[in-house]
Amino acid sequence: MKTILEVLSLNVTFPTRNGRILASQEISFQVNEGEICVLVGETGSGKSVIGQSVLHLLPESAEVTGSIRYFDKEIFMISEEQYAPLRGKEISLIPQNPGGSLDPIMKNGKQIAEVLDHHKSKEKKTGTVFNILSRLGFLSPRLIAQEYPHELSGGMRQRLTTGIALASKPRLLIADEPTKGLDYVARKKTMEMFSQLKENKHDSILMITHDLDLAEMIGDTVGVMYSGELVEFGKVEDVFCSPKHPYTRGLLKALPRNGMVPMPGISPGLGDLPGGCYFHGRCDICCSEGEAVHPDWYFGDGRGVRCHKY
Amino acid sequence: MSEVWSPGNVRKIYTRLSGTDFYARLMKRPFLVLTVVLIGFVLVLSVFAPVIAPQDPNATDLYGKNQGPSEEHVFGTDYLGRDLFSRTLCGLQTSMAIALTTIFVTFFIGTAIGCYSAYHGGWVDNVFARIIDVFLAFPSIILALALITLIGPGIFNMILMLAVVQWASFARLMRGQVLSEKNREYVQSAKAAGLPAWMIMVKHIAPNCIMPVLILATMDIGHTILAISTLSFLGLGIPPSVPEWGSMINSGLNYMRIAPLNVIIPGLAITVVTLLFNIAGEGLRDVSDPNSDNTVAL
Amino acid sequence: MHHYIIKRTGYLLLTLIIASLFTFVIVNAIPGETAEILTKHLFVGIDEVAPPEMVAEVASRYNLNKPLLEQYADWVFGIAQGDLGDSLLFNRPVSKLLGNAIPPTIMLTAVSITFSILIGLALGIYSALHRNNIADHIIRIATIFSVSMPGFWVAVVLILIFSVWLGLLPVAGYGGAEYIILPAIALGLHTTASIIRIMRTSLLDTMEKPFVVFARAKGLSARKVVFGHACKNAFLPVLTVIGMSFGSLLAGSVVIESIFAWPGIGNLLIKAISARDLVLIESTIMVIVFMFLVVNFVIDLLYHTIDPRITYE
Repeated sequence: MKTILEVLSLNVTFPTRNGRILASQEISFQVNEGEICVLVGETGSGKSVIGQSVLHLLPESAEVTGSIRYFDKEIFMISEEQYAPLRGKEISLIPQNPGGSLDPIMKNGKQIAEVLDHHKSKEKKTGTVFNILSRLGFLSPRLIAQEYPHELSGGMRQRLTTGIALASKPRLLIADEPTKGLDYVARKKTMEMFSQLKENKHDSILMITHDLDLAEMIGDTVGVMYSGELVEFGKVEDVFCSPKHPYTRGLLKALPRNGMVPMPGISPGLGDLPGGCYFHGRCDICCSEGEAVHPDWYFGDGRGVRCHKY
Repeated sequence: MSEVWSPGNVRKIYTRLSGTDFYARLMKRPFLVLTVVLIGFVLVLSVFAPVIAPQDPNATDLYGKNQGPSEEHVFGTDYLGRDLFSRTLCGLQTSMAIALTTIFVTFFIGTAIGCYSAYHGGWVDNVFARIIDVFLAFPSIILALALITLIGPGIFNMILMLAVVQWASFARLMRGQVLSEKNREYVQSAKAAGLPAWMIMVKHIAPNCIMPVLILATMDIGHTILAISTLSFLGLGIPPSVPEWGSMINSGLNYMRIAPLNVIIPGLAITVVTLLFNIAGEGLRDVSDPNSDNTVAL
Repeated sequence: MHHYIIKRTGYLLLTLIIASLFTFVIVNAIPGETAEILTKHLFVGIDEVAPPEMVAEVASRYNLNKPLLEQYADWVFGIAQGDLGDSLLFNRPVSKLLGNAIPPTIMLTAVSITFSILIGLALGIYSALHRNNIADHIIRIATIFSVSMPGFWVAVVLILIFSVWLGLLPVAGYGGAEYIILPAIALGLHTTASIIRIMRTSLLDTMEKPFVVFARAKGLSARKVVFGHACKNAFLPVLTVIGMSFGSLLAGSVVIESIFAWPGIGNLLIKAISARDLVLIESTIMVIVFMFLVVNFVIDLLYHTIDPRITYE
């Protein structure tokens, strides 16, 4: 099983008027072919930035170091021209906020057709579009293709953006917060859709979410993000059953089914990070080194944790 | 009405402003602050213009007409030998006086009608809305010109005309604002407390709606100055002896080849003053809109 | 959709009727005045004094003592039959005068707005894409300056530079292409500046929207993202501005046409006002208002073709 994506010591910093925002610090993990790797974390933990980095869509002002390798080829520290052939074709995005991600004044069908190989003829492209729409579960593809995004329901838009992402038959999918802001029913449907994707093929997916249930259900491996850092990584069964990092434990305890026990304190903002361990002060096994010394990343055997206790 | 602007309330507004975001955002834009300071300077200048002017703006000197710049006349003279610099300076007073008066009147009438109409709702609102639409159906100068046929030229008539032409945009804006505010909870509770309608409108609703209208007023000063100069240029406003930039340009047209400064300088003056108010208006709009941090220039 | 068109047309007519009533009333409000002006024009001469008996006779002959509304009704009936009365100044039917004056104004306005839109969109898009570039700053400063300059002064300065000093273009008049250049520029400067600014702001705003990010993520070329998605979506507020600009164009044409002796409606109106030719004034104003309302009406309908989300109740 080959490694399709490898992130090595990714550092992303945004210089702003109010100071430097350290969105990602020394992030390292890998995704194997056919695997679904989920990055979980709260809002502001820096997980979206990783998705943007893989897609080479960071704003120009971002300061970056590190490396991202796709099938052993460097794709991060390269120019836009060099990356362009990959985006939308081999590496695709299923965006957050499907409603907002669709062009409101372009017909649905055309938004799919845009990603298809423009050397193909118009009839062929139209045929492909109808195919994709029916496979997504739309009952009248011809009608849907002629309509506009605002005429679709939220769930349909989600399916449409997924369809657009899949249309070019990518090898790596980045799914950005697929259940954010969805009500219970829509969330369930989205989870079902990803289950299907998982069953169907050898899609490699890097999913970014705050939804632990989704991570547990879909993911093969999971990485836990806190304040811009990866604090734990491993197989889903391992991490969820025997979490090593106190933050992970806290997250699991805070789930409704586990009693909804809140964690004390709030996470430090990315522009205002303390010197030692970021979780210091909120940790249930808080240690004295954590106050001044930043914990290293201990990695072995597919399992990693950033904590002084290991 | 006087209760709204009592010293206590003004102090409250000031502390509310300076304590907030608004003030901090204002201070972050040094160009805007500079513009506001310059406007203050212009206003002071306009008040004292006749005193500051080196020459009497109406003193004619037919032997020295259409002269270029000299020691005595910084910008030269016009076709009657009058000092261009002094006339331009005094023209500032004329323009500012008319413009500010007009805006004042327009502001109060427009916001009062807009507020009342929106608050009252029902058929009253419908009628006023249609009236506003009719007024806005006329491109502004056209309406002004139509009115001139009725009432003739003159300074007071010009103020009246401009007020009639411009009140509608204030009314429309205020009406829109009040329409969205009037269903808010604080209005409901004020009504429930039995406060009279005028008090609710003036003390509660108006202060919340006023910002966009103030911004419109600032930008409208610029438009008003342009309108005034245009009407006087057409010979339809101020008597030509009163120094006014538009009519100065008009008089200078015939002698454009030999004394071009007479048409250039007053126009520059109009441009600079209008520019200051436009920048100020836009700057204020940016400052009061929390979403606009990306397109700051000034 | 058709329902909406019918409703808007009805609304247009209603506004037109009220505006015409309004205009008529303003112009003819003081019956004594009207009679006096009429007498002067027709009999004694504009600068002479009109003897009261003559004024009274004129008043009764021309039905000026009827209630204002009746006079208005007569006027409207006349219009319905194609008779707008005779101009006092020119002594010719108003309809003829208007017929001759409308085409030049349309030509000038059309040329002006076309160039404004083309240049405005181009510079606005360029400015947005090269944000905070030197060129962008220059464009932005130029636009805010342009909006602050009075139209008539721009016209005068242009004449000064290009006709008087450089001798490249004629000062005024109506003829071939060289006669339309300066008036079109003077007339269109404000509009061009406004379009540049709104296009820039709108495009910058649109480029931040999620669907533009997604369009990039789809791997579309930069050109497709900017022109195929962003610009089209950014255009709607620009359309609003264009609509509003028509009003200022029509207003501006009054002044510009006078300066350049361009034989259009604006020029006609100024002459009519100076001579207090009431008959001509009311009709000319009505034509201008009508053009303004019709253009806004068309633009209103255009909204729907551009943005299919816009529905009408």
